[in-house]
Amino acid sequence: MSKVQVSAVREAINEILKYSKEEKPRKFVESIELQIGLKNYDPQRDKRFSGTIKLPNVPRPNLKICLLGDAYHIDEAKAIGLPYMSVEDLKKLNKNKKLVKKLAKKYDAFIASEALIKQIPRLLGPGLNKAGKFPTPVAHGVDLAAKCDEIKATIKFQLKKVLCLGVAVGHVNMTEDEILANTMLAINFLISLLKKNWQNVRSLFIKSTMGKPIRLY
Amino acid sequence: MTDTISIASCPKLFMRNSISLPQNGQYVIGIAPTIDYTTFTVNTHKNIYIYDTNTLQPLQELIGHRDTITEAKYINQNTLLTSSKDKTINIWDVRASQQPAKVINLPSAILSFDVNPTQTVLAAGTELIGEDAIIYLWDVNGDKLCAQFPDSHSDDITQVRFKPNTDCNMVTGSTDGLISLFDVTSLNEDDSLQFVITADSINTLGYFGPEYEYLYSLTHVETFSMYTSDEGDVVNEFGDIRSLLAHPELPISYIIDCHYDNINQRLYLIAGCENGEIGVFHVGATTIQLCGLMKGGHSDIVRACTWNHEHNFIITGGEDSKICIWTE
Repeated sequence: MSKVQVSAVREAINEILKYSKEEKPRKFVESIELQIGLKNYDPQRDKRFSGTIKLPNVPRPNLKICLLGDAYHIDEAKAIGLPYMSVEDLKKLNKNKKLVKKLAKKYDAFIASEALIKQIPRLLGPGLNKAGKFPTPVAHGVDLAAKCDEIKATIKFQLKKVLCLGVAVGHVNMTEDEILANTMLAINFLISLLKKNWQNVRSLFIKSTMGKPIRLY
Repeated sequence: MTDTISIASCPKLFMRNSISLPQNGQYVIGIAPTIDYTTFTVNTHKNIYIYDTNTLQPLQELIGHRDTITEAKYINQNTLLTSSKDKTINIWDVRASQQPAKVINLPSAILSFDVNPTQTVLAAGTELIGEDAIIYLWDVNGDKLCAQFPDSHSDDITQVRFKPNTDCNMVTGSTDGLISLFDVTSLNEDDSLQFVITADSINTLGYFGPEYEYLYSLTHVETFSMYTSDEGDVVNEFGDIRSLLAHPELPISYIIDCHYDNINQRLYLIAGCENGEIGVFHVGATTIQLCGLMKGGHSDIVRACTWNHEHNFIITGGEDSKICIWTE
């Protein structure tokens, strides 16, 4: 049972888009963020509030993804213009920490052929783990572009010591309906993980990077 | 789905005994039984108490940690180990004193730990400080740090477990969404890290199976998965158990823990409702079936559960400050 009306969220998104696109356009694509303030929640003893959500529409289209692939996937990557590296390319890094770190910095995320994923620690050491970019496995027969979209649509959230959490649910070049679908899914999923659900929510705001926050709850 | 079994005909466990913690509002966060289950330890985030299993009478309180207590376990009948965010692991002789017999000082806040079967190595996982979340390996006999792995995770390390039948296999889980499988024979991180599983923010990990050939994984987004413990192959990913186990009369909203019955070689998932009702589910390779109910004990989120399969009783504890003992 949601305490936030879809119509109210739609109105807020409309206002954000109007401000960002007509009144004060910026030189970059502003992202749209959901900010949740919590109450009656003690990070020292309550269960952790942490994980990932897969949104219906891609909120981070510019994420740079690289395939660590076998021959089968490399052919597919070439066809769709996805950056890739073969086992031979990875072997050339020689487990050198600096080179692995450089590779990790060059991309936002990695995917790897299922057949290759088990060799990654052997080939590269723990460097991609450290960077928070260990590859997601992809099986043969799965559409690579769709897999990349899935990664671009998955967002992380984690509450640490401060009782406020921000998650990017979209950007201002998305349609109102797309942003709305992402926002509602994110709200409902996050609230469902709180033990007292809405009773743990102090406030709920939505805002664009440069715009002012609009209160939803 | 659980709709094949009706809630009404599901066996209900009988609550034999219950007791409240000394102060109102305390959460039971962990329960650690002694080897023979005659006593058990309960920890809140600040206190450690010892209870008699038969009478549920409190026997004593252990005093020593200066920050949040994160894990507690017995390594033999009278030796308890506890970890804390105060950067220590305390070793207690519970017969002897309310104070720790020994304090192991480590450089960071400890979230989880385990000791290998021959009790020669203690492994501890830390909170992320700056850029490092570290796995420390402590040489028990030499009484010194023998290795540290700072690269295998990029966020808080929430679980560290040794495989119960080998001395060198270890698994760690983190809020970074990774499960890392190690062979720590060499004590070198690059050589030790064997396989990595991409999951979600890890809450609990455990080995199970006749030869501990499998792993179960419970995440903070309430998903449940099983993997092989040698190479981390997926056995089954059950997904979000809240929708999987949804039933109008038993609205499961969180996982409490898993338990492996090594006598009958069965894995169970224990999950709870917001009102404190608990469901026990038998886990097959591809199915989960409700097989027991614990109602009328807790009135809030249940956080801890330990199961003695030999004598068939379950101890539970929760955010209602209560400890309950259940039998068939």
